[in-house]
Amino acid sequence: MKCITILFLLVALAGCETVVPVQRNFPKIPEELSVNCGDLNEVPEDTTKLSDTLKVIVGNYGKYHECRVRMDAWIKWYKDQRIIFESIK
Amino acid sequence: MWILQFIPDSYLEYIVNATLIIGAISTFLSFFVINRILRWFPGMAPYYTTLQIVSVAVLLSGVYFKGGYSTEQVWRERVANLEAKVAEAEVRADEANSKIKTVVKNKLKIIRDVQYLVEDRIVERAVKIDADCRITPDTIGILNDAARNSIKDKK
Repeated sequence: MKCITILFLLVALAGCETVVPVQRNFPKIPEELSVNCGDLNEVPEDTTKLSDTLKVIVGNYGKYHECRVRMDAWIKWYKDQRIIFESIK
Repeated sequence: MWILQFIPDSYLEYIVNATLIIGAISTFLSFFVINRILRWFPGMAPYYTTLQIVSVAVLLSGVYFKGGYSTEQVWRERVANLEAKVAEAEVRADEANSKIKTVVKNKLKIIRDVQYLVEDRIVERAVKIDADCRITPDTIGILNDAARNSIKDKK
């Protein structure tokens, strides 16, 4: 009788076990943000013209600005997604 | 308890309550009213210990399933709430993504437009720019080193 009682108690304790089947998907980053900054352009070594050099420098400035926009967007994306993530409790 | 997930709520509640009530009544009868029952059904006398064990087993099963059912219901409610929150968060995440996409696209377009304008200005004034200044190979080397972020020629 004691064994049966102990067995029932053990089975009863197993009733506490529950699996929570809630799946969360990590948000995908926008494609615009998953582009590398790339290397800076180099001035052709045989050039003597300031205008050619200037074009390369301006191009590099442009690359920097594009990269900065993506970087700022990344930071904003992370902050926004974190706020959304933490709102689920 | 995982098996409870496959049974509909209404059936589950009915089965659990029935088991509990039958177990409670049969335990009460087999332990406290057994003498009166045996007086009416003397043929059951040899089985009265078995009857007690079975009735206690049914009662314990009823209590077990009642507890399990209550826990299951609480968890189902929590899961439903959480799923609703997750769905809402996914919508908000998508909205945030599309906003960022639009902002990035617009900013990149402005940057590229400005780039074209500046390059056009260089082309327009190339003759004047190049007239007064010549670039030496040293200058190009320094600029390219800075662009590569490495020193090619240390001299």
